[in-house]
Parts: sequence; C-alpha cells; structure tokens
Amino acid sequence: MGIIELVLVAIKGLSVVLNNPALGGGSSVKLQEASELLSFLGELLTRGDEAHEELVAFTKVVEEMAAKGRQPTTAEWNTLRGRSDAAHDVIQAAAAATTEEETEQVFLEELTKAELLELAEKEGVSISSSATKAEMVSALEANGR
Amino acid sequence: MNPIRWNHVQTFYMLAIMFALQACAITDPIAKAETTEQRAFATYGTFVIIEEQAAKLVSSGQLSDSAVRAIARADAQVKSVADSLLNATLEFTVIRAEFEAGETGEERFVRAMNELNSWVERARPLIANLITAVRGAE
Repeated sequence: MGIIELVLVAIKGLSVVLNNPALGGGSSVKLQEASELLSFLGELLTRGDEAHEELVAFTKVVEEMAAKGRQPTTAEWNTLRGRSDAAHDVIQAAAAATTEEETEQVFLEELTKAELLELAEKEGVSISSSATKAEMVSALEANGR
Repeated sequence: MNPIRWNHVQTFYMLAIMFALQACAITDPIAKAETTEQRAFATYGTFVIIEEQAAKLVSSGQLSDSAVRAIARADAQVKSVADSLLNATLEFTVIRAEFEAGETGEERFVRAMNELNSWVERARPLIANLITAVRGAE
C-alpha cells in the first residue's frame, strides 16, 4: 500500500465516523463500512509512512485543542492555508506544464517537413531530409523542446 | 432468526464498531473535534495532508499527463470549497465572539454555524473526488 492509498484509506475511515450521529454526522454507521474499517485498521496502525505519521500528529493537535477547550487560532488557519496554497501551486503548475507540452507538440505537428527541417537547423538538431514528419517531430522534442 | 442469537450478532457488531471507531480515532482528527470550528479545522487539515501528498505525486514525474490534469482538476474544485470553508470559519469566529459578548443575536450565530457546517458537508464529496483522482493516478 502506497502513501497516497494509505491516506485515502484513512479518509474513508473519517467518512464513516462523520456519518455517526454521536460524532455530529447525519446517519448511523453502516455495519459493512465498519467491517471494512476493521480490515485496514491493523495495517494502518502498524505503518510508519510519512502520511500516517502526519495524520497521527495532526490528530494529536486537534485532540489537544479539544482537551483544552480552545478553538483554532488565526495563525493555525493561516499555516494550513499556506501549506494548501503551496501544494495547490505545485499541482496546478504540473498540470499547466503538461498543457504547454501538448500545445507545443500540436504546433510542431502542424509544421511542414520543410519548416521542421529549417527549425532543426536553427536548433542544431541533425535530421535527415528523408526522415518522416513524425521522426522529425520526435527528434525536435528529444532535443528538449 | 433466533432472538437470542440475533442479540449476540448485534452485540458482536456493536463491539466491532466501537473498537473500529476507537482505533480509527488514533488517526482521525475529525473524531477528536468537539466544536464546529474544531471540526472545520480538522476537515481542512485533513484535506491539506491529501493535497500535499497529491503534490508529491504529480512532482514525481511518474504520472501520465492525463493523470496529472485529472488530479489538478479535482484539486481546483476542492480547493475552492475548502477555502470557502476556511473563510466561513473565520467569519464564524468573529460572530461567535460577538454573540458571547452579547453584541449579536442568536439567530445570526446559528445561521453562521449552519453555513459553516454546510461548507464542511460540501467539502466532503469534493475531497472524495480528489481521492478518486489520486487513486486513479497510482
């Protein structure tokens, strides 16, 4: 089980708890879900993965907060928001990069063989004039385009 | 079914559920929350942990472009709601302080609390979508 899946399993468990009226949820806990919960608990509790450790640490933060009867501070909210913003930026930048690559590939594929040869010459890429268009595009992409 | 045997089955399941909830609570921030604000904080914090794991995954260079974009779409959706949840909490905090100081009415306080709870509920399926996107990418 990978880190991500471990977190996902933990979240699935959270959803079960959220559905418990005693914990503020809207309906009773389903036996099947509780049974599934039991099946992964042993594995979850014995894993030392980073995500698990993080969940444990965060659970302690909330537990201490509840024990002291205090509410989350603005600073704590800002810290979480900052972490979320940073992760969000990484994810969106990664997605944007894939879009750019696709756009560029479409651009290359729209060029004629003569244009591709000219571009290759400008970039110092060695391409035979007898190469197919697809081979030319691949060579240009391999050059770091 | 024999009533006595059925009671035993019920008892077994009830004990199993109690054990499951108790054990799960070790890694369940939301189960530890006692107030509306703590529950919102626990929900948002759990989302952040997922989002950070998703960020590590897309940065690994091991995902296909379509998988990265699927995660990004799911993240964009849940991020918007999660931030609304955060803003609703900060607003609720102000209203609660005013309510406790007798500066605002109970109706406004309850309305703000209900709104905050609704953001928590809206965030949940979107977090599930993010989970699905991340799971599909692995």
